[in-house]
Amino acid sequence: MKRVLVIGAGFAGVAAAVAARAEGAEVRVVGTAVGASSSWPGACDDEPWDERERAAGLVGAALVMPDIDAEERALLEALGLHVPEGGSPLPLVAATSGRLRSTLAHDRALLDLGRCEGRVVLVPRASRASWDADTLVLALTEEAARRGLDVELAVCELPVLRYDDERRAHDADIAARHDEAARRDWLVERLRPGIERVGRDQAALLLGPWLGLVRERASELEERFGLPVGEALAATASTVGIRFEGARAALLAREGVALVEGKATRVLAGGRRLRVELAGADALEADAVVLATGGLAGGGIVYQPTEYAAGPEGAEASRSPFRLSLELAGSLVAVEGARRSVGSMFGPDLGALAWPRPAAPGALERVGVITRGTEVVPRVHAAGDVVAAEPRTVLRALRSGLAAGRGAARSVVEA
Amino acid sequence: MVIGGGVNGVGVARDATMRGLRVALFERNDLAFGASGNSSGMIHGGARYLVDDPAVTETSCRDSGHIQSIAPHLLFRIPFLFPIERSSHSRVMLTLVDAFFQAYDEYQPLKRGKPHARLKADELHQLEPGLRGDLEGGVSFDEWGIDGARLCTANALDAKERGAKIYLGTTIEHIERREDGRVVAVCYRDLRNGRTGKIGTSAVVNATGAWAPITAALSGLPAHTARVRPGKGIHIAYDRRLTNYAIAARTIDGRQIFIEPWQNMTVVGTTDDDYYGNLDDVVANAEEVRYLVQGIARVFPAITAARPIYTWAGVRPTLHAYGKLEDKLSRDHQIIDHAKHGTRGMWSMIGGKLASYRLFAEEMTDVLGRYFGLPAECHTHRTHLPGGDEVIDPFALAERLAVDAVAARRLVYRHGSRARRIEERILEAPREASVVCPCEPVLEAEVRHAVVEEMARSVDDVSRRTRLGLGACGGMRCAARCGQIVAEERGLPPSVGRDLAMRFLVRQSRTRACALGPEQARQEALAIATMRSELGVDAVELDAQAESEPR
Ligand SMILES: Cc1cc2nc3c(=O)[nH]c(=O)nc-3n(C[C@H](O)[C@H](O)[C@H](O)COP(=O)(O)OP(=O)(O)OC[C@H]3O[C@@H](n4cnc5c(N)ncnc54)[C@H](O)[C@@H]3O)c2cc1C
Ligand SMILES: Cc1cc2nc3c(=O)[nH]c(=O)nc-3n(C[C@H](O)[C@H](O)[C@H](O)COP(=O)(O)OP(=O)(O)OC[C@H]3O[C@@H](n4cnc5c(N)ncnc54)[C@H](O)[C@@H]3O)c2cc1C
Repeated sequence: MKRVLVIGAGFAGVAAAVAARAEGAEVRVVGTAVGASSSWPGACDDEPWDERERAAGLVGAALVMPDIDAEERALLEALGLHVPEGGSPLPLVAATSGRLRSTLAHDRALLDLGRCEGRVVLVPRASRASWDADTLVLALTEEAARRGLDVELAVCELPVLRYDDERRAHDADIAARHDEAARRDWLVERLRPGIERVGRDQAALLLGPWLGLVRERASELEERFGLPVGEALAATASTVGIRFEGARAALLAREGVALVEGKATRVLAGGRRLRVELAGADALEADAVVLATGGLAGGGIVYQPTEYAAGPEGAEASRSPFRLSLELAGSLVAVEGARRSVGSMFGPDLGALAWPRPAAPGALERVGVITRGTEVVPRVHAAGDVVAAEPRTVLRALRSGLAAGRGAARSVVEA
Repeated sequence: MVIGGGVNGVGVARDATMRGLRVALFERNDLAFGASGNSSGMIHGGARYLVDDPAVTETSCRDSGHIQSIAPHLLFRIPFLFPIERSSHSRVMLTLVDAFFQAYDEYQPLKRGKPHARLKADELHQLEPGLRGDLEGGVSFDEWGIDGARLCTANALDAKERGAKIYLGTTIEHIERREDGRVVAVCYRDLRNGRTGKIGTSAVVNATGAWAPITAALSGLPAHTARVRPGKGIHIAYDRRLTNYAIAARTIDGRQIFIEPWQNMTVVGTTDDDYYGNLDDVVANAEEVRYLVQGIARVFPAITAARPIYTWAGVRPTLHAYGKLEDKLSRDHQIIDHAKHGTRGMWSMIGGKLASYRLFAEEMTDVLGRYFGLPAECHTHRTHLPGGDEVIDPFALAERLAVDAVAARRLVYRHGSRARRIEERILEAPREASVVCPCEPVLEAEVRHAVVEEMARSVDDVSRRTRLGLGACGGMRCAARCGQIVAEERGLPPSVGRDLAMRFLVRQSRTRACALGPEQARQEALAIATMRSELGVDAVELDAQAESEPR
């Protein structure tokens, strides 16, 4: 059996592993450090949602779910996402910033306010830096009205924090406490009277990103209360990404894919087989490699200005300040568009290029490895955020992962 | 009529109000928006003038002492090291430097400073192990740090509470004169809603710093009647205290720069370049950052591996003179009476320093007193600024409010005894004890206080007054919520609050991008992803100057 080694275990890496497996390869995945997928807040798009809504607004189009390939749907569902039927209105999730935004698919615990039409969405107060029910309700009310969504939002005094330390604890710690049945019983007990006052068929419940860490507990609460219950989307230090890691482990185990902890330092593509060197562990061999190491946010691309840590004498040499997190001869990391060399010791002028503008992604979102098809160099394929100039979204990562996994498995067969 | 809400403008507004004049102050942007909020944050004694102009040193030191007694909560000690690299003339150099600071010691008691010490190389290394190896020796000396924005806010608050009218976000567009040249009125425009108006006045003080020539021209005078030499200076902020001593260093062209521990971070500064761009939108660029880092790296190499989290830039209103290098220009101040140019009842305040703002304001108000035949004396050096009257124990405060000791300490630093007012808010509405900005940290009550009591109208304004959003996350954790609070307090719709947050985030991102290092670059990519996910990049045209509020 041919061996495929996937480096990086985000959405792209997992998809590549599944696809390569389906092609009959033996697959291992290296790398479990935190990447974009493990700090991902739960919304899944193909292109950035703000771009999608802007484009739809320009032509007056409705926001409806596109048809999604069965393989992609199955994979998303296996990773804990809810994927609407093609043609249905797009889900609308509430960001803790007070924005209501559309998404194609989403982590099952996120509350789709589109499902709450005609209801009063209760938002409990909690004394936490990242949760301000009062301003959230004000902002979401305006947003719902702007979208013509018939929901009422209301602040309520229902207790959701049980212990004093929860005022300061990390969202993930509170989420973990909700993995315990006793805590969920406590919550149900405490919230029931308030909900019954509004009426079971008239209420819905919006909470912070606290509903389970091992897996989501919103569905269970929904069943017990008999009404929509879910989390708001919190993009800083989200707990959804930790649930992704749990779902990933289960899926890879089911597929018979080994997940190896470690950091790849070099891919040697010279010999008959590829050699992948690991930090502090024995090198691995494979017939093909998938590079799914993520972008700058995920750690797959590293920014190292020439003068960094150079001491008093300054930069040693002129070189691109961006590189892969591992060595791979023949690969080229670039900010697409500024691919040509620049007449500066220090690379492109990030002062001007780093941040995005409407309809124009910034350099830090575009920078990545240049590929032909999915291939970087023969038998090394790339997918997800590590690829230059692709939108940084879950669906793109998943799609390109499937393609790269297949590509890698097949390139071996052809070889 | 005072034009300009920098330290000089608010200083005059306070003094004149205390002496019984009816005062209105117009500020085009925000309090401390210009040089006053973008300085090195030092109340230094003007040691650099010791050779050419010792009078400046003396008045600087004396007034530094005054500021300390009227606002003790706002000052913090910054001990300096002045290392000297070994070279053919380094021993002579050390002797000269030692003698120089010996002379400076004479003035130190005026500002409660400690005398200098001559140090051997190993003593320097002991004090600051990060110093570079081959040193001849050096000296230590003593200076004070201050938050310039807090100093301006305190003065403006005091003036307001004593009856002055303060208009922020309102620019003066025209200064009207009678036939005989006497000033009679100013015309203003509220930059947020476009509303215009005219107010009669018999005296105008142009305290617009680097904008001074533009302002003078509003009265029909040629701009050169209030000429300044605009010197842009930038600073780089690092995510933590890298040293406990400020260290003086030199750039490749021999200019003196420094790295200093400042509040909870480290600051590297500063440049001095002639600047002719837009004064309402001054930002640092990558060249300036590299120039400074290169200079600091010679004495403190670890700087190249440290994590810059933002930059800021300001333009000094230096006195104009031809022929001198920027660095040699005096930071001394000057009052121009425009009567000699044919406009009576108008003066321009040029130059100055945070350290001597009070004195400069006193001199200006003396002129106004003579003009109006007012005998009243200056009391600004004997009257506490708001919050300066009493020392508050931060630990007791933390206990009473059940908040972090750090949060309470920061509150006391910024507000002095006025922290009580924030405490009262929390006792009335305990929910306001919740933390909005975890990096600094800033409590909800302080954000509301800044809007209600301190005239903040945007997230940028709140940040200037509280340091909200200036941590390594660049405001990703707090800007949106702060925007909502500001909008709510001002009775504006939440979408305006969101736009205020976006403008802050985008403006801050611009100040970071030119100084990115490895860690901050990854944080930056995360911040972009976060902003896209939670707010959307298209929510606001990403132009810091774009108007965000409905007319
Ligand atoms: C805050 C935030 C909000 C987001 N919001 C949305 C959204 O609303 N909608 C949407 O569609 N998308 C969103 N995204 C983007 C989405 O999460 C990413 O596009 C997607 O997760 C990328 O997956 P990936 O597998 O390509 O990369 P990653 O998930 O980054 O995975 C790469 C992995 O490779 C590992 N790695 C790197 N180098 C090495 C090495 N040398 N050896 C071993 N392992 C290595 C990393 O540790 C990491 O685990 C968001 C992302 C963030 C961070
Ligand atoms: C980089 C740098 C470092 C410095 N470091 C120090 C230091 O460490 N210690 C020290 O003591 N001093 C320092 N200074 C000097 C000191 O900050 C300034 O000299 C002092 O703040 C000048 O105050 P100001 O009120 O005259 O001007 P500014 O603070 O610039 O105020 C002018 C104000 O006028 C407003 N304005 C302009 N036009 C109009 C109009 N038409 N209508 C209404 N308002 C208008 C502007 O918005 C601005 O807020 C530094 C300066 C710089 C730039």
